[in-house]
Amino acid sequence: MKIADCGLLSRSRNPVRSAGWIADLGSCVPSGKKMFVVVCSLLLACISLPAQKILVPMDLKQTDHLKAYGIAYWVLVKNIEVDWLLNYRGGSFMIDGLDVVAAECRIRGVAYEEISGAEAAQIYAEVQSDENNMDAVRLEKAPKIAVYVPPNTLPWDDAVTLAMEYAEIPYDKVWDDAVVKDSLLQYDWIHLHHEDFTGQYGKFYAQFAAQPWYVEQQVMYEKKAKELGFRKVSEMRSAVARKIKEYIAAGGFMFAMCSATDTYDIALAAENVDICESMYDGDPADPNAQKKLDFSKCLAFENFTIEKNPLRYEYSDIDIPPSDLLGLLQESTDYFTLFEFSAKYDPVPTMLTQDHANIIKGFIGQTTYFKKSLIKKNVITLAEKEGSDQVRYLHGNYGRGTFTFYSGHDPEDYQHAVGDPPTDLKLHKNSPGYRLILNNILFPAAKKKQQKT
Amino acid sequence: MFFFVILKAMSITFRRAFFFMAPAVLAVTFANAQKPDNNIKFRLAQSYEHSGDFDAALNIYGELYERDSTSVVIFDALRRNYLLLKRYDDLITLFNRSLVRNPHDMSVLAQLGTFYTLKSDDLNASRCWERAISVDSIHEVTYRVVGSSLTESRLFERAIEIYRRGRRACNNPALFTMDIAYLQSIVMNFGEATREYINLIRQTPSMLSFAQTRIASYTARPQGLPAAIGAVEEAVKSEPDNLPLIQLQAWVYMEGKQFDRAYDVYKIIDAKTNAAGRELYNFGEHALKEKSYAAAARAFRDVITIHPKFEMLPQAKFGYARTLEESTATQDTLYQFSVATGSLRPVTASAPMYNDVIAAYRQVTAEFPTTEFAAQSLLRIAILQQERFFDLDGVKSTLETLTKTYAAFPAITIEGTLRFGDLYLAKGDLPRAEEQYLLLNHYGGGGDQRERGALRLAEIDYFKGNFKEALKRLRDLTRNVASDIANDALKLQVLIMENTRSGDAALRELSKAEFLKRQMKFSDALKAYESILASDSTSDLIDEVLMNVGDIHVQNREYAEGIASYDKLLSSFPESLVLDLTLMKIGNAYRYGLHNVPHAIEAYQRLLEKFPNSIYATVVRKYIRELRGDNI
Repeated sequence: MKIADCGLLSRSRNPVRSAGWIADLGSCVPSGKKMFVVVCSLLLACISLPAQKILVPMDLKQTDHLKAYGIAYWVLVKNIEVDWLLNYRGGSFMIDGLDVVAAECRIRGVAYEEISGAEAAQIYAEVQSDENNMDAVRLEKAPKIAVYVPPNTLPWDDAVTLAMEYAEIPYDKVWDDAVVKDSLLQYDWIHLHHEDFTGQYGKFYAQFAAQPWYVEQQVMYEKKAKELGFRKVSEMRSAVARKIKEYIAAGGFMFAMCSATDTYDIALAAENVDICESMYDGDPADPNAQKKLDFSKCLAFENFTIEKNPLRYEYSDIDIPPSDLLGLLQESTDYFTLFEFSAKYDPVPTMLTQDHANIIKGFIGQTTYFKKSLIKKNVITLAEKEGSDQVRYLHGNYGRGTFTFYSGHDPEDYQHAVGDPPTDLKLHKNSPGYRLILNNILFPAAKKKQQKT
Repeated sequence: MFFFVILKAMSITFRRAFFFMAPAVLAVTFANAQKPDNNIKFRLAQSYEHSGDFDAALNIYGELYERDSTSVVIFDALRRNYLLLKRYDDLITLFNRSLVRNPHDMSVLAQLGTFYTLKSDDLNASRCWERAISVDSIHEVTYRVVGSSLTESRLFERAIEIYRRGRRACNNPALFTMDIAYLQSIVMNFGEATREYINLIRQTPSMLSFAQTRIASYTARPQGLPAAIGAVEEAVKSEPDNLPLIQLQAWVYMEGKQFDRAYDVYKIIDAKTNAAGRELYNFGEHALKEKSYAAAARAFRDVITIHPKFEMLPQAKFGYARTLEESTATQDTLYQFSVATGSLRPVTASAPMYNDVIAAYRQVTAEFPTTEFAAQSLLRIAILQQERFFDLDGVKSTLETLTKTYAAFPAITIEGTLRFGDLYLAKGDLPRAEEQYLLLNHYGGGGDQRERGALRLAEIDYFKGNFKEALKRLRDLTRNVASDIANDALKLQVLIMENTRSGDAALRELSKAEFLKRQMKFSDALKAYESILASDSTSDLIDEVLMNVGDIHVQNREYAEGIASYDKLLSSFPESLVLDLTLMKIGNAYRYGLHNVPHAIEAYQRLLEKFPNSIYATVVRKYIRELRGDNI
């Protein structure tokens, strides 16, 4: 008999606290009754349970943190449940002690520990104790993942697809047709590639206007916009941004990195406002565009000022580019700090910040740091550069879904330039920066709990 | 009063003239009076515009335009501001007014077309462009103006259409070639784009390189290369004597790594340019680098047979021999097996396969004696004799010739000297081997050979049982951890150090057996190992012995015996340091020897299970996934 099947460790049949979803973040209050149950189960486990568990540690003992997420996903695909032990040894995974799981861990080079039922019960007790800022979340369904990515190959790589490829987590690629035609609804999670939702083609005009990839991209997007009935690419992009917003409102999870973060919100704010200069859409931008922005439509940012210079590689003042920091931003000193949340009361931010390191090295992107003063009050900051107004990682709710923004381009390539070769994650198996991406992928797998009445 | 007095004094003629001129004079005077006012207003409008109050600016510009509709500056200010505020109707009215004055202004008509496009009024846009063309429909500039306007409106297909129409109307098929080619490539009609670049080459053959650069921008695209190849083939078929087109065809095949097809074209180029084999030789070198051995061999062979007086014939013949060698190695399954299992045992059975290769190298030495290529050919022959078919007498004879005759090429003879040492070592003649390895120190350069020679000297000391001397040499070698031989040196160092602490009798026996193994005397070596096993089964070296016994069996293709020996090692020496390697070898024997995939996977799995941190774990994971057929 396995510990998870004994029915003694929790209110229901399993020993873990469920995800405590957005609406029920405050409902996961530990009780004296639960302590009693835990103690009983411990005793029972010590006496009679021969069952074993596999603990995939996520602290410094882990040999390949990134592939460990792939193991958790693989296990979920096999319909085996996984308990995510928040804040326990870097956010470890507890899985039933099946030989196939152990074998797969070995084959993928993921460190694991075989533990007895009694040891497992002890761990659960420790995790659920009121004295520890830990909790266990049951993951029970492999989320269906979509990556919003253009069909043509662009001369840069996306950290999320790199991470998923390396961790062997399957995903589908979707593009504007799928989004406009509501195909997103079949996915649990969508990642926005390093896209520009403002319709300014990444604002690469000044540097790359004559490059074949740039020209091809512009032509392809224009063709697609016409196909879908839009007059301009910027209008199509705006419609796509709104569709994604509807998807989130309906319960979807959206994760965006680098320039997909700020351009997404800018596109929402600039609905029906022309912010693109003639090289992008054939006519000048609306001179009063700034005044016409509607920040209430944005998910994360407000009161920002759009960058009007079409030749400047910036969209707005949401981003704090390295050039604005007058040489103060240097690779050797660029670090950001993850916030700590209450695992029992704030499981979602806790899941998103599981890591074996609290201080993580920074990395530059088209969008590098978010300006704190322009972030909406209801948005949770997950990581920031200490002692500054620079936010790196944030999360918020919209409707029944959530969104997470992570700035920077590639956590293991400080300054990833156009045309640079992709990062080889075999050399960064324990990357704390990449872990934050993979936390996002697993978090929709968490069991949704009934709201308390 | 004064005015009337003067008027009265004028003659009738003069009086008439005065009345006729007066209004004009007054108008000029009034206009001059207004000019400062206009200037002030214009500056005011400009300042409104700069401050972002475009509506206010437009009001003033409009007023000024009413006063003076010929002013280009005001017209442009109105155009700019209407465009900025997206007041397309006003913009169109403005341009139409201009057309009333000058109905044949082609540039205004073309711009008007662009504005209608912005307004999404495609019908009127087309009318404007057609009207622009009708102004002067047989001149190039007309089509260029309209084509540019269409390109600006990002109507690329229509721009192409207009340029083509221009060609017909002007009766000049060479017109707009670059424009159309560029537009075709950006709308991803790669075949058509290539056809235009072909036209460009036809018109100006010296533009071949330029066209190649432009075509190269899309040959990496999945549809780009086949489209380009198709278009070029079509062109060459219709003009088989057009050399630049043929050169383009060869280039486009090379872009697609279609070496066989490229070679056929290079033959034509070589003949047409009277290159006397140079084109073929260059192709052969390129194909050899790209590992396209069949095409490279064809090229070198043709140079040799068709152009016997080719100035670089030695290089061509040596290239041919190298190509044959590389090509034969890919077909030598016994050699491939040895590489896969890590047991690089020379196989005499392979010798006949290399007859042609040896013959080709010998031809170089015979026909071009005393050249560097002859020296290189001899070295290649010696390597084959030594590594592929263990023909020690053959090696000796070849190396003797090399070192005696080709001292002028020290970079080659130093390798010959090292291999001479290896030869004596394989023959069991340690003093002579030592002599050769020591000779390496007399060469300038050749650091790599000197290090390898120093390792061999340490091994000789080990085989002789001079463990202290061996350790002394190894200490120097292990200092440079970046060197290629550092690992081998460390391994031997550890073996000696660990097994000489409490007497060295067992190690002496082991070194003797290993010396036999080095000489490829496998049955004698096996006996020596088995004798160690029989005499002292408690020795610390027994695991090493069992490993060697297993290796010899596997090299002899006796897989079951090999696996049994490895298994014995596993069961008898659970503390051995080579258990992970042993498990990998069991897996390899099952995989490559017995072709038993489940057992191979099982052995690899055991390695991962018992030794997750083994240095072999990564490669074994890869093996398992390959055998499982994982898509990684």
